[in-house]
Amino acid sequence: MAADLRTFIKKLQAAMPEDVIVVKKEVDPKFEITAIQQKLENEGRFPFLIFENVKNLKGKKSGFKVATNIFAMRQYCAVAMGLDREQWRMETSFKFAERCLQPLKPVVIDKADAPVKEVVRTGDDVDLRDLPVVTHHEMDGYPYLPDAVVAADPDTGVYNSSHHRMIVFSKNESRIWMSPRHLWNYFMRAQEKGKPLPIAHVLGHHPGFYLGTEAISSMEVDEYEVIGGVIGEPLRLVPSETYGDRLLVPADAEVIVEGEILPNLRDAEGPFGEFTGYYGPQRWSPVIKITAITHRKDPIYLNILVGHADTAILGGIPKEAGIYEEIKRAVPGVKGVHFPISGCCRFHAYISLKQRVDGEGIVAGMAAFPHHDELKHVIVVDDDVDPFNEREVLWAMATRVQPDLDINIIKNARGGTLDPSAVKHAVGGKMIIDATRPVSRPFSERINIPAEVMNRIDLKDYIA
Amino acid sequence: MAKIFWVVCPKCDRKFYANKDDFRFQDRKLMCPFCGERFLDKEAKAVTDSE
Repeated sequence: MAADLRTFIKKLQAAMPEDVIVVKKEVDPKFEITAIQQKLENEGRFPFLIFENVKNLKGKKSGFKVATNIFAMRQYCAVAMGLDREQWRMETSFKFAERCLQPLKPVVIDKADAPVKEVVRTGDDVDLRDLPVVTHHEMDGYPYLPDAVVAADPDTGVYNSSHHRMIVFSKNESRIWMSPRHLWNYFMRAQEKGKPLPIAHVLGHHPGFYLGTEAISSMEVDEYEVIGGVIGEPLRLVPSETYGDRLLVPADAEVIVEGEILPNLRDAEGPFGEFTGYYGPQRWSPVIKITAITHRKDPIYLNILVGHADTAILGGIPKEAGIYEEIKRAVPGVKGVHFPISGCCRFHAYISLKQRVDGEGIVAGMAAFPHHDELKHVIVVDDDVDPFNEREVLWAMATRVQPDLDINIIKNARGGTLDPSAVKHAVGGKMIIDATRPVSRPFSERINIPAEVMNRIDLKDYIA
Repeated sequence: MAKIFWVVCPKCDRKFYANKDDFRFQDRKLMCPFCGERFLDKEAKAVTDSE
């Protein structure tokens, strides 16, 4: 059986049954699903949720289930990578990186064998409002398809998969905002020829599909191959309804929305609640004509909640092992890299290392920045501090840092496009906080209980 | 982030913001996310520029 959302759900139910919650009560996709997620988050809970009874955008029973929070705990990503739930720290990041280096060529299957072709809607039957598209946050206003968009390079045919939202504006019209990366590059080249860019929105697949989409690859790399590597088997593809072999789509997806980004046509799109936890502004964005919707007979619509743990962790894990390798070239003693949720898994990195000589903490910090332009603040700690334990990291900062000596600030570096604190667009500062102990002078010893006693004491003997 | 400006929708009186380069002093209609009203920046009930 091909890896897909369903095989993952079964795996998660076996590995973490207490964290999979099925909601039977009817919900409206406009704010109700995200309100439930927010209330759970307020209690520190991030269960994988499956809503069985969800209305569509016409207020009627949709017939789609909605699953969400699939990335809201690192343990879910560990399970998706074939690891035990306890291996959620660097093990998961390393496994992701290892799999990215083993790309697998996709295979094309017949339409009759493709689960996503069980129901095909084209022409007048296309209506986005039949789907349970979630409206996430108040100022979004409109519902948005959350993730991910696939397209073929108009010149080379190489596939790109990327994280882009698409507003649902009417039954067959959407709009998309693209930062100037690969999909934007594809579109600009198509537009220069006066042609639309065919795209497909993949709603529901194995989590490895979306983690693989986050892999940092050059534009010449076929991301269907990278995704196959991350999932651990060749991705099964099938010709799209609208474009046939010109646009192959994932056969094991739950839902595929096909369309084309129209050349030289723009309209208002946004605001939209972004990964930063703030709304991005309304923009003048390209228009998409929706041409087909295909899905399974009992589809599970996967929603990814932007601006919360669900999207933060999805973005963080793929960066950690890459940055670890960059740092290791300069500082062999690096032990761990963590992009914490408190920094939206983009803006902060906690790096732990065994420092051999003074100054390696700063070098490690500098080595981290080129890998990801959104990274702003790096805290470097010794290897007695767990970078995945934020309280320990901040304790090290509290006790091993003198601000006038240990904080280094770099001005006017390339930054993220969505950082609300940036004064210049995509330009900003970087900060390295060296919270390591000095190597070349004596430093206070951390308190401890003798190891022999710690090993001897069993709490069960003393505390009921 | 891109420079933004706040507008007040002339129909429903609710506030939202937009990219300054895309909409400010341009002949492009904003779209109220709350009521769907389309209007130019000069037609907004109020405008607050970031700078």
